[in-house]
Amino acid sequence: MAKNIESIRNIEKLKDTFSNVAKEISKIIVGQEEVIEQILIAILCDSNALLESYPGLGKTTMIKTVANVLDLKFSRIQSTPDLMPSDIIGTYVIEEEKGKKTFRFQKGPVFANIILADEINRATPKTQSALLEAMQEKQVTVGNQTFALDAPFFVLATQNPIDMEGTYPLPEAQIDRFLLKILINYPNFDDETEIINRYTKTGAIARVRTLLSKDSLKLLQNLTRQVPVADDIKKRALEIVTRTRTTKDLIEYGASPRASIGLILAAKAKALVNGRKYVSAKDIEDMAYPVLRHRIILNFKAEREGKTPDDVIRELMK
Amino acid sequence: MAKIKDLFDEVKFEMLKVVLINIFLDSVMVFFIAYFITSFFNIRFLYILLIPAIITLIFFFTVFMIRIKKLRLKAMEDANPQVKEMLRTAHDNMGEENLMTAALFSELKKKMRTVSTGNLLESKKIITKIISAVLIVFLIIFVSSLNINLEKIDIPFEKLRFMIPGGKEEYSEANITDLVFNETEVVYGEASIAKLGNEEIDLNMNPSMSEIDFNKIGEAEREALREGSLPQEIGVNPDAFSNQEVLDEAEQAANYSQRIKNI
Repeated sequence: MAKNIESIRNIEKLKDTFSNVAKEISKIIVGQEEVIEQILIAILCDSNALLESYPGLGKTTMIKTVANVLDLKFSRIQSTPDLMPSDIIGTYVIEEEKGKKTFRFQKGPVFANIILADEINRATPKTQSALLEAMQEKQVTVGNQTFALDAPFFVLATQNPIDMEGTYPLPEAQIDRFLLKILINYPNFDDETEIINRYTKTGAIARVRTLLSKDSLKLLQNLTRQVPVADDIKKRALEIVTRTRTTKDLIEYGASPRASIGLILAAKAKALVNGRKYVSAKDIEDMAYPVLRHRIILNFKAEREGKTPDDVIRELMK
Repeated sequence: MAKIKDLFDEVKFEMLKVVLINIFLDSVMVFFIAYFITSFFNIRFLYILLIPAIITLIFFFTVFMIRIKKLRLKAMEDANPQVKEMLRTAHDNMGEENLMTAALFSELKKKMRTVSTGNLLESKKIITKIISAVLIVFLIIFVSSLNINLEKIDIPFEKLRFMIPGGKEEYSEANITDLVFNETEVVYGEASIAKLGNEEIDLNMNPSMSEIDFNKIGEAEREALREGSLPQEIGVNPDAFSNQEVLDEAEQAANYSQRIKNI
């Protein structure tokens, strides 16, 4: 009972904890609070995110900073057309010890807690599949041996909306496995001024403190799933997802039930990050954009009208 | 789990109190309005109180039953939008037992402690109702000082005549002497005056002061009206009329009296 009360007291402090995490990240990353929140949400949901932005917006720095603050092992995979699955997963290498040759498994960059798969659409489908399998199963199989990946495991794949020549766009079925599609926009004038000031002066760039341990993160992931949701909020989430399938005048293909699960889960994580013990309708509406935008395919009419997935989602929620 | 159920029971009890307070105020208003209206009619004071009281009781129980049926959690949520989603989530997850729901219930309890009956009452409405009730009371006092009485309003139901003060006894058919004259017959005075009761009036007239003391109106003593007992001051100047005229008038008066007796 006393332990329970203590745990409840700790829950009360969660808002401060996440606020401190955001503050710590902001020492390196200027602005982009919403993006940072969405990355945290994806981590809390024990899921993966697809990050779309123009080059030079600080994706790598952002993920590195998040990894440092959360005490997670970070690795980066730069996707290119000649990238092989073994380059990601790892491979067996011959090792000679005292004249005896043995095969030893050399772990690839996938054996980390946070993976930044940069420009994933430049890798071949074979390599993409290898990474996506690791994302889904949280394990990799090489030969006849299976290796479990460290928990928590989070892949942040990026792709550029421009320069699509020579790329292999992710198939819809694989895109569906990403919980969120996070969009990074250009910083506003004030933020960019601050970026210039911070990174063009002499002196050491600020270092971030580790605020959460791996175990704490696992506990938080567990807590995320425990956040209660009211029946009418669940109904609202389902209505939004269902409308993506029935609004045929704008959408060619709607979202799957995985989207419904993702929407509720993401809303729970958002509630937790904001220090709430319940999911509000606003959480659902806020998370509908990153959860659904990569899961719907607009039809010709919507594209001709110049509508983006976010515009259509906004219309669905009216 | 049991505690959160208790909490919801507590919330419902608070809401019940609010409903009762609101209905009580509404009923007070209804009573005053009904009293105000009935006070215009010439009915006994007992009924002036009784009729509004009955109307108020009917109103109270009817509205109470209606509002009790509508007593849902939604009313509580509407009154407290800041805890709306929290309340609903707690309600829908009463069966769940984990750390987050426990934390939610704990927070909800803390918040509900601050959400008392006072928070549920809509102060503006309450103040308006109280002010309206006070105004009606002042209006009743003001109107009663004017002594407005709608005596001539006919009560459509004959059976309700018992409400009129003294109505049954004094205006019963047996006690009314109603004289109806044919147009051809000679009538002295106005016909409406001929509708007489059998009450006799003792008038004390003071000719020198030319005034009548109406405060002394009451049941006349039979003896005082006997012949020859009239006061000396009342008399007729013999020079004012000729003898013949007096005799003619006396004859007509005698005939008139005879006719009355025969009816």
